[in-house]
Amino acid sequence: MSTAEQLKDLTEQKYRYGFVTEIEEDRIPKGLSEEIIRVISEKKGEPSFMLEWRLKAYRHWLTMQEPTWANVRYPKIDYQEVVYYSAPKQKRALGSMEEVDPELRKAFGKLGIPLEEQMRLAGVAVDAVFDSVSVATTYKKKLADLGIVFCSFSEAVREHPALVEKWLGSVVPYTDNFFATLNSAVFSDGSFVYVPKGVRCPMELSTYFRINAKDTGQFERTLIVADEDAYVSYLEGCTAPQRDENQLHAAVVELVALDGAQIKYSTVQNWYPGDAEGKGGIYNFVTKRGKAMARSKLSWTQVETGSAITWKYPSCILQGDDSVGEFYSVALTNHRQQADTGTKMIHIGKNTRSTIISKGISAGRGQNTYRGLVKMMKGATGARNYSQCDSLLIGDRCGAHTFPYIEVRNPTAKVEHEATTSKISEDQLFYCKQRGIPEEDAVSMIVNGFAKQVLKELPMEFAVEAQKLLGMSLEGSVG
Amino acid sequence: MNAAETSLVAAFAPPAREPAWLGEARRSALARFEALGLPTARHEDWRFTSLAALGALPFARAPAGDPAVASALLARGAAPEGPRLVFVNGRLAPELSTRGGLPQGVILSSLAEALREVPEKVRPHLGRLARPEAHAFTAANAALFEDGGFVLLPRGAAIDAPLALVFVTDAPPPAPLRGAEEIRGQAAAAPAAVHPRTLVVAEEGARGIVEEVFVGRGASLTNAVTELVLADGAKVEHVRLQVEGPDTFHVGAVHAEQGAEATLGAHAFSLGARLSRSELWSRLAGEGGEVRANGLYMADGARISDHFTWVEHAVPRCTTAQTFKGILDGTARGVFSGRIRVLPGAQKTVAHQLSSSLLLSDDAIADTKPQLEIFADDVKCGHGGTVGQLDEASLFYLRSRGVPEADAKSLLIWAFASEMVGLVGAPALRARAKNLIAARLPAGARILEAA
Amino acid sequence: MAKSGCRENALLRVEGLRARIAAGPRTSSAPRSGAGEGDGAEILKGVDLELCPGEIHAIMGPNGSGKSTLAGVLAGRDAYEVTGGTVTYAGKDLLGLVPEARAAAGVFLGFQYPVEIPGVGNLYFLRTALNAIRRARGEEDLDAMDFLSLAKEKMRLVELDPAFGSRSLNEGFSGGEKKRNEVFQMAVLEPRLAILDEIDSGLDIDALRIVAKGVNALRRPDRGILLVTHYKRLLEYVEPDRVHVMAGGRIVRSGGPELAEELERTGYAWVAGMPPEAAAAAAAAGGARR
Repeated sequence: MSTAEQLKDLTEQKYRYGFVTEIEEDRIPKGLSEEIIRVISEKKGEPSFMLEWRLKAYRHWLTMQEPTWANVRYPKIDYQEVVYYSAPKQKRALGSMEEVDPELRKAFGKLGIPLEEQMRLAGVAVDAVFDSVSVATTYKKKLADLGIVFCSFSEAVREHPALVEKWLGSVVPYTDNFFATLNSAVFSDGSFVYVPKGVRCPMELSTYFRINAKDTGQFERTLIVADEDAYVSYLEGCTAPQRDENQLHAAVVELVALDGAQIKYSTVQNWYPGDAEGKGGIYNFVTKRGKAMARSKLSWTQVETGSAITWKYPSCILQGDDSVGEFYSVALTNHRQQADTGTKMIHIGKNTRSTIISKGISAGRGQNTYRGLVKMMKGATGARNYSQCDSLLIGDRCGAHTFPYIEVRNPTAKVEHEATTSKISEDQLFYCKQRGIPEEDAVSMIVNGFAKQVLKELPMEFAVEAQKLLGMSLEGSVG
Repeated sequence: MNAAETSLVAAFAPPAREPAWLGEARRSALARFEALGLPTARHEDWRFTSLAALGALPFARAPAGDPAVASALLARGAAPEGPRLVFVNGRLAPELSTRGGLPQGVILSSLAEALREVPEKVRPHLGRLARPEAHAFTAANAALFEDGGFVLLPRGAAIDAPLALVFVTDAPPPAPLRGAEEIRGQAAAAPAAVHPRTLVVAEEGARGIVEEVFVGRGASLTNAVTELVLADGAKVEHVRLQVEGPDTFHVGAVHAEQGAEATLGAHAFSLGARLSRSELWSRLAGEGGEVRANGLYMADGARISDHFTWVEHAVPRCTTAQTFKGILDGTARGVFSGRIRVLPGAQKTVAHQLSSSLLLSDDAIADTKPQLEIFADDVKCGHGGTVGQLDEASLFYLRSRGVPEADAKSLLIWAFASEMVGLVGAPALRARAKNLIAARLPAGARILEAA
Repeated sequence: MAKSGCRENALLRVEGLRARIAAGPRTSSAPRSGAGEGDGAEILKGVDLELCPGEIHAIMGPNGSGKSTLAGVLAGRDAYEVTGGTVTYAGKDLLGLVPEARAAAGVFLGFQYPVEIPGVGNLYFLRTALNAIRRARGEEDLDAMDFLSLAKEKMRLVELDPAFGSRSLNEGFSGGEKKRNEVFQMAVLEPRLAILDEIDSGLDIDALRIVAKGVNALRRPDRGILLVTHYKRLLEYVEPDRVHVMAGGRIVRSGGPELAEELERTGYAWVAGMPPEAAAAAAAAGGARR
């Protein structure tokens, strides 16, 4: 079979996480207004500073325009058609996993995330976000003993208002950009982590996001603060059921690494990408940013295989001297997926260092854009950046684009950038096939090899999942 | 409209004795310019280069230049001996030009002459590649150009001597620091605007070297547009040498189109002007075409030097090789943005892009934006870039061998820059470019002697 | 043409095989090497060959004679299009099978230019291949530990450093390392028919000796080996049962090991473009002149 035929063949792959869970939901009417925001805030029992902040954001949002600079195309979103709040109906607070709605637990099972299993085997504490409200937080006790706060955002607002008030918006202000501002106004829930001074979080903290309800925008907000010399590794996995309408997802993640702290943030994003004709799928418009103080380190690792449109630039503001920023990314677009993703490394402090490794894989009619900024500010004496952006094209109808921006304001800073574009060669495929490996496996193997530099940055249990995901997302596209 | 826009529109005065089609083109270009306005930093292609200072100036149509001044400027070594046409303030200066000795059929003439004598060779191409629709400066040039160069390399012609087009600007000195109101009140001191226009047509299999040199003094705007048409199998080297005075805004766009197996070597040396913008738009339209686009820019003081390239691979089996280098001192700003587009179906494309900048001072700025946009899978594309200062180890090595620091620095800068000169094919051009670069280095003279 | 007399039980029988470069854009580098002609030109113009179990045959010939094309066609490279003739392998039609099915059936091609695959571990690749072949045969996967001990044993055969296993497949390997890796893969995959395409090219004398040792160790009564080579050098270490000379897309002469000696003396010039009879006559004449 020719490459082209196989390519066509492989594009028929179905989304494996496409199912809808029937759970009673607590929804508010669609649309956006000050009234809706008050309702959201009230439902969540928020203190007044939170409501004020939301309203400021909303009023600012009204003055903003949706950005158009990204290399993605989609029909205009009607923000009045979106439902901004939806929560599984609960009669009382839940004490343990066993009390969680069996339907919901079954849903997690289908996702391949047996919650209990994971808790036992992997020692992962999971804060599962089902649609917008946190329903199960585990391992809280053990973490609490160390003084670590790991809870849903709503709970943090109630239980740790001082921490939230201090850090919320400190990295991504409510005025930041169209989607982040919208999130600031309407965010429903998310995760909150605080690791106190000198504490090393003993386990990977993990949250699975899932978008379930029809027409529900998901607006989570994550805030992670690592106090001086603290360490935390956070995993985020995302899936969404199959829906025909595009669903809006506008999340905000803020990381704060104080002096000497380290935060490792890993994402495997597998939201519904739409069907082969580009119908349906998630719009993933995400703002992720971290601030690094002296000697601290921020590390973003992402494997992006899902969503119809991905628009995200996990960034590092390297404010403190000797701070380090890292960005490791694999983005795969198949069928008619579009991704415009990359990072910003803003070097402010002396001797700050950053590394960017981006691997873009385009198949089918997918369009994959790396967009990144490396900025060496005036004070960034002795700063260093190394960027490598590689693209792999599978088939002749996809696109791979590389748009790095390099801005240097300090002569002692050193910036190096490399980019390559290639395809899987017939020679490589024939070599594998001659050794008995079927074409699809060969392609999956070669793609995983291409992405290895990034995959090895993922925590072990995630890496395996990510590898499978790459193969799966390519099924239907390869030759 | 700002002062510059208003004054440019006001300067519209199409020559009386011109073909009707050209007059029509000028009028529609002017309308386009009015609609577009000068680009601002909001324009993605201009995000690093502000035209605010230019926009505040009212420009007047350039007066007749002083031939003596022009001769003196030419004597500084930028302009070549050999076949050349010299234009002073946009108008042909026959007494400074040298023609003759060209092979049969090769034309080196002013555009105005060509429009009179060989209109059939001009009309199909003029304004075809440099379309006013999207670009304000190109629109202004199309509306306002007075004259420029025309080069025809007929089918199969091969000429080794560079054909030179020299554009001299003799403009009034800049107004001392005064409010814009006052400047407007004194028409005599208004900076001059010149819009040179060049068309180079290389027919099938023709081979030649075309050089454009820009020199000048005084406060001015040079807004040059060049169109290069390379038919199948043509081989053209185009060198752009910009050594304008420190009060000139220089905006130059080269638009090229190449047929099958055609090769273009496009070199841009931007050494002068207070603001220099050099654009190369190249379209590889025939299989097996090759474009080598190189640039060297040096800027000190508060100058801005901006290089912009856009290469489009429309068909299979074409090659792009780009190297751009910047040397920045003082509070100068250097910009490189280069886009390579590989359109659907342009398989077997090979395209590589390299940009490096050297920052010599604490306040110099480098902005780099290399871009690959790829819609075909069987391609080999890449780009690489570095920004940094002179290598500490090399500097120390030279000093430890007794070379004084200033000389050592000059030597290392020279080594960095001379690679770009080495890429130029014509020896006479190389020598001239070397001298001009060395003249900008503290210990340049000694280095040249040693080299 | 002399045949070696195992007609019923031949491991490989090639009859009147004709092939050309397949039409359409290709990215593969190999088909162009040696062909010297554009797409669509016939490279194999009627090849006849018979290999019995337990035998080693050498195929020699000048550049562009079609040796590598023959190897590629036998392994099922889709850059080539078969335009005529038959290939019977262990009594069955080989040409109808896709490359991986041929591999599962026991056909191994040692590549002249082993391919690099960044990020894919050497041993990981081999284990994937071995288990894919085992699955295709209805056998169980070999588990990681068993595979590792098997691999270690076979690595010793070609004197490969165990650290090799975790490096990316062929990436950054020297020419000799790549060829040793091919023989190592062959040793692990245990094919019935091994086609080694210029396994000796680019090797220094030590590497050549190691590769030859590996090949000799894999000689077995039920296994056939086809050595494609330009030089006689390899045949000093691996003694062939038969030697075939290819020129202009055909086998123009076959004989015993002594034919290699003769070629070494006379060179290939005499075979290029000549019909078999004339070539043989010319060779005889050439030999006589010495």
